[in-house]
Amino acid sequence: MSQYKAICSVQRVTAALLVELAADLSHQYLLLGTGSEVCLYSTESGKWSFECKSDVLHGRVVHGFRKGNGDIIAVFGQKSVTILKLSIEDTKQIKVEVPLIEFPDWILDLVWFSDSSRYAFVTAHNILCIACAFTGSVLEIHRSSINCILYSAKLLYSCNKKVIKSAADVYVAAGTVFNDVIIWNRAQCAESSTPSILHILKGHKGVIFDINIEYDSQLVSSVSDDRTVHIWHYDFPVNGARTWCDAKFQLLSVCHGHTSRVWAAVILDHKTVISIGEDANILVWNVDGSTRKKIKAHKRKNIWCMAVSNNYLVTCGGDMSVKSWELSQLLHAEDSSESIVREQINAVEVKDFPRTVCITGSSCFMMTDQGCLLARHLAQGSKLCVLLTDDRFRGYTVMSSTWAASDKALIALGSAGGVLRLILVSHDLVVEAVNDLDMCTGKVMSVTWLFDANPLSSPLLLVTDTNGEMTLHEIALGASTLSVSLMGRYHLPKSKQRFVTAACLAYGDDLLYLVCADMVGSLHLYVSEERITETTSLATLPTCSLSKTHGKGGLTDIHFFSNYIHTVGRDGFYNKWSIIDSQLVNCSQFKTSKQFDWIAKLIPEGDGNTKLVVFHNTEVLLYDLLAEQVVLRLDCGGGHRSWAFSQAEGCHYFAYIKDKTTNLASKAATLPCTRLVGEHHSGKITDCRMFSMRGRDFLVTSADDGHVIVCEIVNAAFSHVSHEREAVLKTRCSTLVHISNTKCLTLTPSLAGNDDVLVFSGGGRAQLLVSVLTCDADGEVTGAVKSSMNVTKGVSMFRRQSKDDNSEDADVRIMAITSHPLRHYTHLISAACSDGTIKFILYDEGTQLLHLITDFIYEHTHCLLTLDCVPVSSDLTLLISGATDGRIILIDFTQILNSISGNLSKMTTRKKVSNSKSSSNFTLIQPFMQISVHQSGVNAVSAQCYTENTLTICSGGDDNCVAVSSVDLQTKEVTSLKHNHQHSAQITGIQSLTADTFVSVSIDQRLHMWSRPSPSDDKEWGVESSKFVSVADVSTLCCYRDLLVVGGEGLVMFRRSHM
Amino acid sequence: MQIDEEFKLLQKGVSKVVDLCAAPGSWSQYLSRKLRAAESESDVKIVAVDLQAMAPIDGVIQLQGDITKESTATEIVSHFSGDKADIVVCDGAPDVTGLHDMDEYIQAQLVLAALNITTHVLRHGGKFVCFRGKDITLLYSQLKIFFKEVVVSKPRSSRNSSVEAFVVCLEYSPPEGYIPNMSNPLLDHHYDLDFNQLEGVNRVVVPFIACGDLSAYDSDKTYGLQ
Repeated sequence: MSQYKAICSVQRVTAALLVELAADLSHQYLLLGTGSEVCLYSTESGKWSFECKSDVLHGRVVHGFRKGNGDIIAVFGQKSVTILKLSIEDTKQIKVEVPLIEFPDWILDLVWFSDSSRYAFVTAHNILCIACAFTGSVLEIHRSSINCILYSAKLLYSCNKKVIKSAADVYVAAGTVFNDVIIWNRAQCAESSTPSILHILKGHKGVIFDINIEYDSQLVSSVSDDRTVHIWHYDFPVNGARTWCDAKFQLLSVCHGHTSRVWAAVILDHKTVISIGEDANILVWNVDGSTRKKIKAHKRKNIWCMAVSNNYLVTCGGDMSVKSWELSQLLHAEDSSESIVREQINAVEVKDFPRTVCITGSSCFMMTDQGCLLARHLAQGSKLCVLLTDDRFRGYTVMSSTWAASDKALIALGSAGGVLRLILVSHDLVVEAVNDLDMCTGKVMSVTWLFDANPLSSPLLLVTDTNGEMTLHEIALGASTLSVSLMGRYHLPKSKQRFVTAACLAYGDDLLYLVCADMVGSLHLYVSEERITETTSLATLPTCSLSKTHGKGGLTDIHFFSNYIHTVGRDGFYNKWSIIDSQLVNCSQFKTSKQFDWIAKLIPEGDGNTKLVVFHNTEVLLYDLLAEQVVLRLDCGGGHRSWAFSQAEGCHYFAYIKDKTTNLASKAATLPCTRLVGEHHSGKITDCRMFSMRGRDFLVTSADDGHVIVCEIVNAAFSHVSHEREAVLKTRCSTLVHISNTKCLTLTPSLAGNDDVLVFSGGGRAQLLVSVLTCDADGEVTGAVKSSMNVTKGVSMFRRQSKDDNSEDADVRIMAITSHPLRHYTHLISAACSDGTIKFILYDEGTQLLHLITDFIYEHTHCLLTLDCVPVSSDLTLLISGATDGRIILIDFTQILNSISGNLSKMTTRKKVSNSKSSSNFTLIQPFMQISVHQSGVNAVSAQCYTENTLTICSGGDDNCVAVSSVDLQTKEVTSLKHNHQHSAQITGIQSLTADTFVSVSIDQRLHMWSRPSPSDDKEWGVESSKFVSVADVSTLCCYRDLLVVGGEGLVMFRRSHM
Repeated sequence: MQIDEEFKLLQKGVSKVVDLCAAPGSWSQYLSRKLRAAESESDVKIVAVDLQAMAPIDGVIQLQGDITKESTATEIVSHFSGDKADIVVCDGAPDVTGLHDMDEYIQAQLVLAALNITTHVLRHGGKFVCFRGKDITLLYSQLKIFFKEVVVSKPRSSRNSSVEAFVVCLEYSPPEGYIPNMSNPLLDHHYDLDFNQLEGVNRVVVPFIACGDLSAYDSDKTYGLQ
């Protein structure tokens, strides 16, 4: 008999509390509740470390923590309470002081009595209970006269003393279904037996999700479904008693600012309120209702909960991450125009004006109309210096600056007369060296520093002349000299505006390449030359030229890092390219945000993250790609020709020339926040697979947030010594992004003979994505998207879609996918789609091309939900699919394989033909057989051939039924055994393990292990054991060796052990 | 509507119907159209109850009231001139909190409140149909105490991916000696045992019946636009 044990999980945090413990005042502690577990973190000076965790609520969900005397913590969730003691001597431990007690009703809030001997709690039926802390026995029950369901409640002290000695000292603030906040007490008047309603706060237009109080400032906050925070103020009559009974409530302000529901708010002091909500924003409010700050703190949707202390704000997001924010910075770095320092820098001469501007390091350089080079430090109010003046640079100059050794700046100026001037400027703005060169007869069209050159090597400059000749120069820095040597000569193809706008060096095929973009947006690739002599005759021609890679607006920036060429442009797209056989191959293309249509600059940050400078309306934005959020917003008015952006010394600087003046705007860098728990999926997990690569185990998940995430499963080996949960999931890569949601994925080893693994993922908008996972010796995994296809049209999705492309079958979803290796580095992918078809697609690893085989297609009248591929015998492989009409369809896959194998070379070379729309002459495949076992949709199938000629199909349906069908493949006779009474909701995952065992999982959050005593006896399937799954909306199940993963709103990993 | 066809809810003789948590009133409209066509108009009585006011519907008596109050039950019965209803439907879906377990709990409480008022107004042998948002296993055990047959049904018109379904309860027969009581509502307190048994399997599972025609449009399928 085998048993499953949960070993790790990725789940949303549902409760958080920041505490100081009497036993150790030097640290701040944080408690997080995820599922039924409590995790303890500590910090000394902003750096958080994980201490320990413990499953304390056994299958329930932690909803709150309340601290009592002597470092004891009451944990409540659903209907249960347990009391913990945090032991922080030598080893940090969470000890259970009083084991779990189940109460009859849903607990919304809990408060300790002053001596910690008892606690009071309020339940969802508006009932106040007093319970003994040690035994959990309920001592008193008080019902409110308003009998209704509460969505939230908070227990209050009396107004004048924070002491609770009896139920009379506890006041209930309850958020009712009628959208009111009511405040009541067991008995305000001494001997009255019926509880009295003291106050009803009316104003919200939706149910109340959270209520909070701050006694010193006499403020109460409430948040609601109606997207507002209400702030109430209470006061007492001048000569009256300071009691809740006599208090007068007044609605102080209604805070509008969240774009979705508000989950919680806390009052910090007499002037500040912080709220969080479904829109993943932190909003800092003044109590008058005005917004002080708005921060998109987490990806996509939801900040579920927060914790506040004197120093920190901790937020727990829908992206599964937990972040800690420095409260002082959160409150004081005002998010208004006031925090932006603006300066105007004019030319020295009255008639003169700046033409171009650039920033390097902490200095800003400007070239004026009169040929005057100006410089100043970026810090506010710095002195402006004139570095040089030269008539040759009057009226026209191209300028670019870069870092040089020891904090110096190297400036290149190109004149109308063909002069190139190089200037080395020290950190204190002193000109150290100048070198003038006669470059060409006409204008110098552009000067571009190759920023991606090796930092140890000398700076490289690319200069373009009017004839489209580009010369690459290496600049050697002497003590007071600049020597220039020619590195290469390249030919820029003819175009309307023939000069370089962006360039970089790139490596590919073991060669060094030069990649550059011209003004009309074409991208050119050149093989880099060895050092040449001045007299070399011909300029190198590009090996590859691609026109309009970023639409009409053109390309704005190129960088080479992480083995890809990264480009951005004025079409709002971000492209990745690799070099294969001296050609540029697009590896991925995505639009960063719907709003952005002009990406101006790409800033690789070196830690795997990238920031983008984006122009949007009249603003310039800095966008963090990893966090998917705007981190800086500056109003610049738009429409300026020359601009520069930099991040230096904790500040962002943006300089632009407008109305013949240089405008310099600066703003302190974004709020530092620390990640305690990293991001995972921010949507429901739709599919998962596990695999091994180079001796390491990995888990790949897809979710409806469109991401595919690869995690390494660390320490999954069973340890007999510790029976603790021992696996940890480390996110290794999460870069594979679908344009819509991702529904399914499948893995297969690469046929190229290396250890790489191919991922085929399918999802909305008929998108099939092929990516390759590569693992280095340190376990670092890189995922590279190789190909993408719309399977209904058979066209690559890297190519921009023309507008009429959206006309038909716009929203076919790929619901399930399998792959089958063929010879010649080719894979056959079968994709079951929502239009009732199974489509067959070839993928060639060599050419990285997908090719839709329109000759074979299976069509069914209903949406297909699942797909499994089973080799039955040496000459029969079956595809098994389930549909929404409850049918399981078996298709003879061997036939398809055979006819494809025969024509493999023909098929792949015919790809041009298949791109045309006329190819609708496909062969309809007849199913091998069909089985009707379910009343409605078949959500999961898993089939195996355990004995010759008998196929065992386990299926789980929307009708809560688990069916095991035995198919005699010779006679096509089917025996189905249905089990309707083991799951109480639809079955969403099933996996056949052996001839006598399988596992099933359902929305009812149960994982069942099925078995039968003897293989011959078909009638004896029964549930051998069952596990509660803490993940809601379970949607997938996958087994690998002794590991089992269940995915839904989060995931749980189990390990099978034999007993 | 497919539920009606499958279970013949509104067969001949059904004339007194209560629609709880009726707003915006889709069931009421359907009931009104179907029943008033079949029966002579004077016999048909449809009472729709909701906390909020709703747009008037022909032939539907609308009550704005709280289903947890006894006065509401009395008022309903008064509209049937003392008789009790043949069928009670409750299509209410509460506001969601985003917390899966809490949503499930609140949904269950709503259905329990509906069941409670139903015990006041439903005749013996009558039917009760309520909406199930998420899995509420616990609820079934309560329903089984009051009805001979309890079935979960999902219209085929509802998407496969959706968890929405209806609980159809047939033949109301309360336990002997049961006296409907509003002041002490049916809380789930008394039935907690199954729910606590998180690791077990012996929970109440009710039969599932899909309803509707297979030839009808498949809401999951992607159809061509032509």
